[in-house]
Amino acid sequence: MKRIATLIAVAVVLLAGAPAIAQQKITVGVSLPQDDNPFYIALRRGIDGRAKELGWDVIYVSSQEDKQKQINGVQDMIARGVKGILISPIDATAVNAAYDAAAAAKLPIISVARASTSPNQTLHVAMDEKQIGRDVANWTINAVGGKGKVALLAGPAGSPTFKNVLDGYTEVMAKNRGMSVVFNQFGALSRERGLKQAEDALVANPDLVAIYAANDDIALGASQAVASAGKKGKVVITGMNGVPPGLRGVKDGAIGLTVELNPVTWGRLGVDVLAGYLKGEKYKQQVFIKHVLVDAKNVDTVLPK
Amino acid sequence: MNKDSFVRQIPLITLLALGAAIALATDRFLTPLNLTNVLVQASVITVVAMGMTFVILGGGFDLSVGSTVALSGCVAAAAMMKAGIAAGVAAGVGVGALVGLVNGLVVTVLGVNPFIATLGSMVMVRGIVYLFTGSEQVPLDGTLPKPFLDFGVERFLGVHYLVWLPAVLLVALSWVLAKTPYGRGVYATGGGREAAFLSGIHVDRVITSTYVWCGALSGVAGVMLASRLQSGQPTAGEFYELTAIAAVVLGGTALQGGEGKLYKTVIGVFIMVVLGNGMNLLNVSSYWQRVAVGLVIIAAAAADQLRHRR
Amino acid sequence: MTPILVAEDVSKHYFATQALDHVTFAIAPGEVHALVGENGAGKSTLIKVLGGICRPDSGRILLDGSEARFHAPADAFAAGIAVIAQELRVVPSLSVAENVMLGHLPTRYGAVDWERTRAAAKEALARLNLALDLDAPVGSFNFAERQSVAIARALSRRARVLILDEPTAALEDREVERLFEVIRRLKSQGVAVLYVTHRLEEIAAIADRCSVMRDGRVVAGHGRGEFGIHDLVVEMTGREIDLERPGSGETAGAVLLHDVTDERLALRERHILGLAGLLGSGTSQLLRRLFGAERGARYTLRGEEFAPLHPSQAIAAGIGMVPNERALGLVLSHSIRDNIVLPNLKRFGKGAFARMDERAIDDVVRGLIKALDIRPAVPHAVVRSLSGGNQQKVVLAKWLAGRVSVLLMDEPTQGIDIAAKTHIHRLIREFAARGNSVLFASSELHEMLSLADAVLALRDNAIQGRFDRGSGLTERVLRDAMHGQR
Repeated sequence: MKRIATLIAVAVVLLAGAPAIAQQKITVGVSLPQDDNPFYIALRRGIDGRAKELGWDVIYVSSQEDKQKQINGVQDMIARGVKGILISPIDATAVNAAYDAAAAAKLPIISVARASTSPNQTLHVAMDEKQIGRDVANWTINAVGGKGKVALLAGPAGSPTFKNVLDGYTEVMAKNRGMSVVFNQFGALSRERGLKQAEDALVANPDLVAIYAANDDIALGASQAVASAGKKGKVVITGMNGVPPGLRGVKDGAIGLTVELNPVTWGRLGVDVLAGYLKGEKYKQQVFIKHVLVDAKNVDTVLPK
Repeated sequence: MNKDSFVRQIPLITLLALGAAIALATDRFLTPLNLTNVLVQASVITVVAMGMTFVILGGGFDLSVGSTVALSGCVAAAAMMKAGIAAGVAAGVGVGALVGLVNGLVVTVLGVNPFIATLGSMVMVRGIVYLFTGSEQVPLDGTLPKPFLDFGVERFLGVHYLVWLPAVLLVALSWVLAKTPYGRGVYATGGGREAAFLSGIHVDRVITSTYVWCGALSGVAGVMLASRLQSGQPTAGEFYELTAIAAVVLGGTALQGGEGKLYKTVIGVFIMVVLGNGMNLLNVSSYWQRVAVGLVIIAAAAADQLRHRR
Repeated sequence: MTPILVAEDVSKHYFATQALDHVTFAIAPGEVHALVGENGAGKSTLIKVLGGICRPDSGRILLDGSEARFHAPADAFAAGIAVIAQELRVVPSLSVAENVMLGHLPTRYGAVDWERTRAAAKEALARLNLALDLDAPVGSFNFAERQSVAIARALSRRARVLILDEPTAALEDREVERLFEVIRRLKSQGVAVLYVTHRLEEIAAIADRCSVMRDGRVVAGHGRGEFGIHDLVVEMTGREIDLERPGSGETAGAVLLHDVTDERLALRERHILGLAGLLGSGTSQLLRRLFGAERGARYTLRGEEFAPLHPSQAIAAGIGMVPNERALGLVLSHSIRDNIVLPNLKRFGKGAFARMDERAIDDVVRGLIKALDIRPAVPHAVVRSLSGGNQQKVVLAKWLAGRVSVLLMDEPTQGIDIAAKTHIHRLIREFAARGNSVLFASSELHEMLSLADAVLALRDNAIQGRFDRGSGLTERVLRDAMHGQR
């Protein structure tokens, strides 16, 4: 009789303890704006890698640039019991409801890459967008000898990240008398768009010396247009993101410069900051990631094997 | 030229007037380089729009063409890397035709409204593209076979291969529609489905076949685009369905079906492409470009209503 | 007595057809005025103009002596003119009370006042000496009762002129009597009733006056005592009915096509068989089944089993069908040439993607246009712009081009003017005389009697009887069979 009672007691303790043991595993939620952008794919790889090392579980929700979906996704994650949230908000203000929900549940919500205006944003892990723009512009001015016409193939209208980078770029360009912007169009982050707009820009301005592309896909499309127009080497193209096709483009000479944001490192940093925050460490509001300008000189060091 | 034939020539007149206006605004428009660019830029969407015309002539509607273009391009690129150019092209066109077949069967056998049916496949196929490619370009590492890449760049007798292809398709398919029993069946099915049925036409088969044509042509367009972009892109084909439908309407083909011609749709495509090209050359802001395109589409649809008031 | 509603010198045309040609027509309060005429004479158009459904090209409508311009049926309805169409236009899913008060439901603080609704509906029905369950959905009642609801709706709007379009087409004799009682009651209440009908024998029972229309004109007006059927028919058709010269004028040959389960349905060479039935009796369905447009047919064709699953099979076997609506028989947006070619694609092009013999097509089309006197004689003319008669000739041409041996026709002369009608009858007889067979359904009994060698009476999708010319084929006999009387 006593033996059976002991067995029962042990079983009960184990059963009661099991969820407690299971609860040692931390689950965090991640909400990214797109599934198909190589940048966010790499970011996710970084997050997954670091989370695995820490023994964390990660829940992802898909939003595909749909703000309502992102808000709903975050609310779902909170309901499922995550300990913290990493989010790259589609829009600086439109998804503030997601931040409010996290704050109401007393969970840290850290913005990665894109930022939010919400006062409930715990931290922002980001790149120094304006500075990147300035750096790219300075590099371009250097590469073309200080004078010439520039075409801007900007990112999607309404995206603050791309806007900030572009602002930094145009700020520097405006200060420089020798450079003039002759073409400025928003558009999708796709190769097709880069090709078409670059073709038209080159026709309108045959003496173009530089093309600013909001990301590597656009830059690669533009490089094709430059090649078909027989102007390879005469028009300098800059991109952004530093994804493998872009890096290869730099190596081939199709693209002059890209900016390695190293989204993988970024992802890992995001997880580390969240882990640190959960342990109680203090951080500044803005945690900057170092960006690396990649051109022909240093491309070999960053190309993946 | 009496009133009726004048009304029928409005699309061509619009295109010429638009071209003249842009030529006056910038001397870069009529340069050989630009005109060649316009032809190449229009080539892919022309093939898609011809497929859309088939479906519309038969009385249907297809919103999934853009997604099919992306799927075909990526499948073709992937197959090409493993098994050569011929296999790649066949796979690309084949997968497009398959999407078309599914669309056709859902519309005829399940009786789902074409708008809804192809809206559903538009979303589904796009999802399949992302699943298939892992959201990345195809091939991720390496390049497509050189002859295939050359096709997107080289010329024959001074004209790009990419432009010859839609031209040949236009001639061949126009003949099929105008001169063969099959073509007559398509027009009749779109013009009066029950009357066609009571004249012995297998309307369900005809309707399904128009969707297969549309899917296959979207497949061809996808392969063409993969050649032009030197890769299969999962993001390809965005807004193609709207552009194709706008082109059909601008060209003067009635959206209800039963009347219209392929060459008219081609004129409609050129109106859209020339408009976009002109605005780029003049560096018109993107926002205004969207307003302009939207206005053109509404004006074309309104003109279509007035012209075809039944 | 001064008329309450007058159509003064009204004309209207649709494309090439002159539907109303300087028509003057008047009806007085408390008068029951019958309007008769063949299909295509203009009765429907006159009703549409009086009821505000369409506007005349010229002429005016006078209500109570002053001109009335109706921009929509609602205007006419509000002015007191109500049209009860053949299809009734009641909403089956709504209750009787709601249907009666439809369009002017009484409200209380914005919400529907159901008590007042039911009271008003009850009162309107009482005027017809009828009491129905006010809350039951209208769809649960039979045709006659639904018709009463439609009439009650008109009365609830204080209708002073009631236009009844073929009200007895779907009624049994008993119900027809009831309707006549209702009409007499309304007459005594001062309501003017315009009664459009094909059934000439009813006029003597109910009407005070009768107007005859033909080819868009009012050709005669009669008072009580002048309603002789024979005279009316002569005025309607413009010629004497030749009951002496029978149907096809030929002796029947071998059986081409017959129903395996019912030997009364047998089509013979040089024989014209008629199908007579009320609305909903199944005549159209029977024709469609023979043509493979609907399932369920099992026949013997030239001695072999024939169970067509699709019209293409019937066409291949040499059968053609002229449906009861032009939009079903023709692709209206296409040309005469396109339409004639359509069922005969195989003849002109071997294989789906083969080139077609355009020369041969041109010859055949030109020949048919000439033989059938299709106007305008332009092969590329769009069929929509043709008159009803010419459109029907194009439908016939489709099948003559394919050299069919059996022609199925559903209301062959519906909506066609007298001259074209005569021509089409002649074409049908010539077709049969060449050794072919015709099966046609018609709601115009004198057309049936003049054209058919034998008639099948249909009711509830079943053949009630077969009446051969010369052995008991009369109008009375046919009517009885159609209505189910012995």
